[in-house]
Amino acid sequence: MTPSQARDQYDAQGYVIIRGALKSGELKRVQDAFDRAQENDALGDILNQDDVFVDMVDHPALLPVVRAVVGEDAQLRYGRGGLIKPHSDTGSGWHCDLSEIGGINLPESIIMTKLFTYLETVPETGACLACVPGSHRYEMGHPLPDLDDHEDMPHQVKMVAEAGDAVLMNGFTWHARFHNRSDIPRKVLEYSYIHSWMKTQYEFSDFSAHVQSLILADHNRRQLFGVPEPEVSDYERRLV
Amino acid sequence: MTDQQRIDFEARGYLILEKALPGSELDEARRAFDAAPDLSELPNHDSIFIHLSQHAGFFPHVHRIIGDVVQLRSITGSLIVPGDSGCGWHRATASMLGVHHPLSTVGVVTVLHLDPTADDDACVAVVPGSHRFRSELSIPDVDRIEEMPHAVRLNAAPGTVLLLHANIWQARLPNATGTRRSLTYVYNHCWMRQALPALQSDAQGAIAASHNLSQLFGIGPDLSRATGYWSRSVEGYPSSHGLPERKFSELKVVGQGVKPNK
Repeated sequence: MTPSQARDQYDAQGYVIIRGALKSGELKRVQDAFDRAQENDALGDILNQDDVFVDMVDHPALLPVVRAVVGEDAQLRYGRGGLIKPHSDTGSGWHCDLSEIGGINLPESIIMTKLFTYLETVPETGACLACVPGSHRYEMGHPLPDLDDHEDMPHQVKMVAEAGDAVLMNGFTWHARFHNRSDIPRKVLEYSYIHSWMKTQYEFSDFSAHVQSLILADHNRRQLFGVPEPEVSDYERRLV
Repeated sequence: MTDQQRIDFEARGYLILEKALPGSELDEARRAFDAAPDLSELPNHDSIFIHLSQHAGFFPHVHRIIGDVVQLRSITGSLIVPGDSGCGWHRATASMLGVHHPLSTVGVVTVLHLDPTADDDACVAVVPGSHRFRSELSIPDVDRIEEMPHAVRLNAAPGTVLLLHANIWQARLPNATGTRRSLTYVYNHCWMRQALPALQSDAQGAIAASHNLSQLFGIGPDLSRATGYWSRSVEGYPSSHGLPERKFSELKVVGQGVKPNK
C-alpha cells in the first residue's frame, strides 16, 4: 500500500491499517525495549527509554503515511507505551477524542491522528481497537448512541492485529478499546501526530541529553519534536 | 456581543467596534506605544499592553468568537509612516495546513487604532464574506491593492477596534500622509502555539496574578503544554464554544458495560 492509497483509505474510513510495519528482527528489538521500559515502570516516558522509540517517530514504514495524512507540517503530540493485562475489564468505551474541541470544522479537517503500533497479537477477544468507519465525517454534535456494551455499537469494525501491524486513526473517529478477554497482553506504542502550529504534550527539555542529540541532528526530527526554528513561523514548517 | 453583531461577524468576517477604547485609555496607550523601544516586545515594556488583551471594549467579543479556550497568539505594534506601500492581499491562515478554514475559526485578528485612518491612509481593507471562501480559491492577481473587486475599506477613528476572522482576505492600503499607530492582538485557541516574545519577570508577575491573563499568555506549567488543553476556560464571561456555533454529543463515553455511560 502506498502512502497515497493509505490516505485514501483514511479519508474514507477515518482509519487505515498498515500490516507488517515492523518486520521480525526490528519487532523483536522494539518488543525487548518495551518490556524493559515496562519493568522500569516507564511506559509513559517511553521516548527516553531506548533509541528505538525515537526511531519509531520517523519510521520509514510509518512516517510516509503520517505525512500523507497529516501533512508536511506533521509534529509529534506525544509518544507512550500502553499495556493491557489479559482478562481485564479496562475497555475505554466508545468515544471521540476531539469531542471537546471548538473552532474547527472537524468532518473536513484533520487536526490530530493517532498511530497505534502493536507489539503483540491482538485477537478478536483481546483489547481490540474498534472504529465506526466513516464516523469522522459525521456532522458535528452527532449523538453517541446510549448503548450498554462495546459490542452493541452498530457498524463497528474491530482491528484484529498481528504483532508489527499499525493503525492510523483520525482523532474525530468514533472508537473504543474493548475489554481484554484473551490470554494475551495488549502491548502497543501510541504516538499522536498533530500539526506544527499546535502545542505538544511535552517540552524539549523533558528529553535526556542523549535523546536531544538524536533529535537535533536531523531537520525532520527537529520539526517532529517541536524544536523551534526562530526564522520559520510554526504555520510554515515543512518536512523535507 | 449582540445577536446582530454575531450575525454580522459570521456573514462578513469582521466587526467594527467604534469607541472601544475611551479617550483616557487611548492617551495612555499612545504614551506607552511611543515610549516602547521595540514594537515586537510590547508586553515587556509596559503592563498596559498586557491588560489591553482583555479590555472590556472588545475582549468579550473575541471570547464569544473563539470560545472559553481563547488565548493570545501575538501582540505587535505598527508604526506606518508616510509613503508606506501597504500590505498586499492575503489570508493570515494561508499556510496553515489541516483545517477546513471556511467553516472553522482558528483565530481573530484584532486591530486597535491609535490614530485615524482614511481611504488612502493605511486603511485596513477586506473582502466581506471571504472568510467562507474555499482555500483553493486563488486571490485575484491584482496589481494594486485598491483594485480588489468587492473590497471594503474599514476606515477607523482613534479608539476603534477591528475584529477580523483569521481567514478573511485582508490588506492594508498605502499610506500617503501622516503617521499611523496601531496595535494588533491576534487570538487563537489554547491548544495552538503562540508567537509571543519571551516574557521578562515583571511581565510574568503581572500576568501570573490573573487566571485569565495566565491563560491568554500561556504561562504556568499546566497551561504552556497541551495536557487538558481542549477544556481550558477563562473566567467571568458567559460560557462560549465559539463561532460558528457547534453542537456536542450529549454523551461522551458509552458502552463500557462495567461503568455507566456519561
